[in-house]
Amino acid sequence: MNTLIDFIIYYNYMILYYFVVIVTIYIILNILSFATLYKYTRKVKYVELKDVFRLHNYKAITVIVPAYNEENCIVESVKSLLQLEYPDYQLIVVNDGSSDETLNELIKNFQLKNVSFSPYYEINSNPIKDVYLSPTFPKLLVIDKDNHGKADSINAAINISKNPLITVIDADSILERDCLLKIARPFTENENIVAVGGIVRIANGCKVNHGYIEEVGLSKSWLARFQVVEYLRAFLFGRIGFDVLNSILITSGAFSCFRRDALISVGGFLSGSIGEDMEIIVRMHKELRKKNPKVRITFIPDPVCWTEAPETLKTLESQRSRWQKGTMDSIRLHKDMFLNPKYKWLGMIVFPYYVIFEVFGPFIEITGYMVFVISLLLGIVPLNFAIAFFTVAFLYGVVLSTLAVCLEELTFKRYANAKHLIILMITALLENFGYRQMTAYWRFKGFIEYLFGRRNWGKMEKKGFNNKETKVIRTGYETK
Amino acid sequence: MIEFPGNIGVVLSIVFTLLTAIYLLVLFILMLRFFKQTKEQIQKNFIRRWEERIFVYLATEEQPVKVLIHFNRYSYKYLLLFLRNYILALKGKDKDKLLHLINDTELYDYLITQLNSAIKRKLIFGAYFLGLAQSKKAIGELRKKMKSRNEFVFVSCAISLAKIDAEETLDDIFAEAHKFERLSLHTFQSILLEFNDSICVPLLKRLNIKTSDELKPMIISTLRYFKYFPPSPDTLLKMLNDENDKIVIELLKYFGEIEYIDASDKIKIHLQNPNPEIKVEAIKAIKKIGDTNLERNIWDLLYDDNHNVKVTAAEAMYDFSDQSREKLESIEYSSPDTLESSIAKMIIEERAIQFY
Repeated sequence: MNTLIDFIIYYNYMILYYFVVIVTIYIILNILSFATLYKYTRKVKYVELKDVFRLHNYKAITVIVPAYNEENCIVESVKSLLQLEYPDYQLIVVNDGSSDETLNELIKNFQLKNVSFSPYYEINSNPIKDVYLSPTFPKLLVIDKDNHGKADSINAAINISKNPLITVIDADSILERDCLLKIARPFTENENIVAVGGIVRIANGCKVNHGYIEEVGLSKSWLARFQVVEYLRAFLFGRIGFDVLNSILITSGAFSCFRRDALISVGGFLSGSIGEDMEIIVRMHKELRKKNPKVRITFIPDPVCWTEAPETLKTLESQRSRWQKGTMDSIRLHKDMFLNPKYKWLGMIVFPYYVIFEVFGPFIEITGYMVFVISLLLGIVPLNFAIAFFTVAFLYGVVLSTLAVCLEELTFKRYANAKHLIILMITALLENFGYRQMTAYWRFKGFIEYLFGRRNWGKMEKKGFNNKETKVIRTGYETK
Repeated sequence: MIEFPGNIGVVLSIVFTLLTAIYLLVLFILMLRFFKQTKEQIQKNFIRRWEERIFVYLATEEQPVKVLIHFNRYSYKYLLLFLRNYILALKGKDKDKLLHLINDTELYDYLITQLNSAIKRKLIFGAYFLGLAQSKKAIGELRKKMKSRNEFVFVSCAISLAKIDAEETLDDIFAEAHKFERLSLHTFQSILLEFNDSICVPLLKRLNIKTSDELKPMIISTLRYFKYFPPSPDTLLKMLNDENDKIVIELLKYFGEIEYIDASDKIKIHLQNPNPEIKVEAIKAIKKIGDTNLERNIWDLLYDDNHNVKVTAAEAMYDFSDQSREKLESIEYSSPDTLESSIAKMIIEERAIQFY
């Protein structure tokens, strides 16, 4: 009995230290992000994007859209993607063996014609069945193949593509018109950059017209609002903070841009991986730094991709559980980077951070709550201590969320309506009471499932942008 | 029993600090929003008043100095931001009048004050607008400020000097650019491309004498952008034998762009270059020049080991002439089920769709 009580006491102390360390890390990340964002917004203020790219020194881009059962949104999505502002880009849609009418919708709406293609694969991908071109939309190319997952679809498109830059986006994402101009700029500014991530924002509640965000708004669903604040926190200070250390371990699968030669040299995306968006970034760091230690993977906060957030608990649970499995999978596959001085900050600080706070974080957090309650019942922890600890923890969470809203207001000010800003601040307060604990629990479930070998994708249920009243159930890809 | 870390007073002070932080943050956000909206409102009001005034100025012979009497110094920043869109959109006489409004009035002095400010934000603002207004008399000041240790200040001043077309500062720009290790060649090129095409003569001279191998491809690419046709391209032709692949690739693109037929003999050699990237650019250059004498050499490259070379050769064959296109079409029957045949078929169908 004494041993058990000793264990509980030590566990409580561990939770306390864990909390102090994570608070310190977040404070550092916040400071780094504030400084970087300030510098960045000053820098781009007088840059005229179109002027930069009238110079003929732009790099052509291929936008890849892997699509699986996307019949409801694919046509609108392709139409809007064909109107992006960029001097030279190609759009490749990959129909990944959809069981619905995705391919037929594309053929019908874009008058696609089947053409021959050269069966030459620079990176591994399952065979392409057919390639289609559109006489009316010369930028559009559609690939049809059997269902082998998102990574395999991207690889197939990389094989067909000839352009030096590759942008990967989700079929149901909405890109702002000038986002290619923005995401391509770092590649021209620094020859060592091999990948750039853009920011993903929540489109729920926004007015969408013909595949474009007409007016930025907030959803009436609190679940979607919580995710707005969560995304702001994750992108505006999480990724920017790590970017300063050249240690970004993930760029969003919903919107990222890569150098094609870099993707080819690492063998493309890993087929069958749960978190292919994170895995490719970790592998790029690992493989490419061997050849060129100056290689850089970066994040820029203003090319915006809008995505639909889950509005039901079930879908959100499935998403978070999968994200957790994806993180664990990528970390497990590259465990040799852990505390490896060869990778500098990445190996010594960021990778261990991911292992402790992202992989084991949900486990520590949930078991921490349990042990804390047991300790309270057994009288190991005094009530005043418990109240004080939880008050500090919750208030600290509120400070972090409010800081994210503050960063948004300082820099990009997307929520023009003052009412929305106030709702965001209220959301920043409320999300700490229940929502964060719930997501921690779902991630904990993902952690357990991954350990016991349940590593499937799960179903995604989305409303779609076009018919807001109808719920469309599909197994489309979703990424963080 | 776990001991309470510190006394309750310490915990209360942490709670109080966090609550204060939240309160201050909320206040800060609201203030930011208030300032933003006030600023927008001021700008809107100014625009309402100015728009008419500026149009009257553009339509009449009114002196710029007289126009400015209606504005106080406090509103110069907004006036400049307002003028920016018109300067970028207008051309000819109207644009010139707007430039006079900046260069021949107190606005110019205001911009020089901004340029000499210790605050970087103001300095960049000044540099940007002096460049936009093509203020020749600001060349000296911009040249001084360009010597900053800050990369962004350097780029802003250098771009403005280029917009003013201050060719005499080119050597300074090259010298200062060396200070910044992280300055990419693309950014450097963006500066050069802001000059007008008369910059090509000094750039070509620079290529002959004092430029590192690293900068040469960028200079050649700038010449290509301006489609500069040198009086004597001998130096550039000789450089086609350079050992640096990047230089050769840029030269191939350059000669293709200016369609320089006399270069095709030298380019022909590169059809056999071991670097597939060079082979691809050599094919493209010959296609652009349109030297049908080299059709046979291009045809051979359809059987090259490299896939990109094969595809580029097939594309060139399709575009060269009717005869070469027919030859490409015949491969489908002469050697079916080969990679070459599938490439040929792919190119033919792709092109057919384009002309559909």
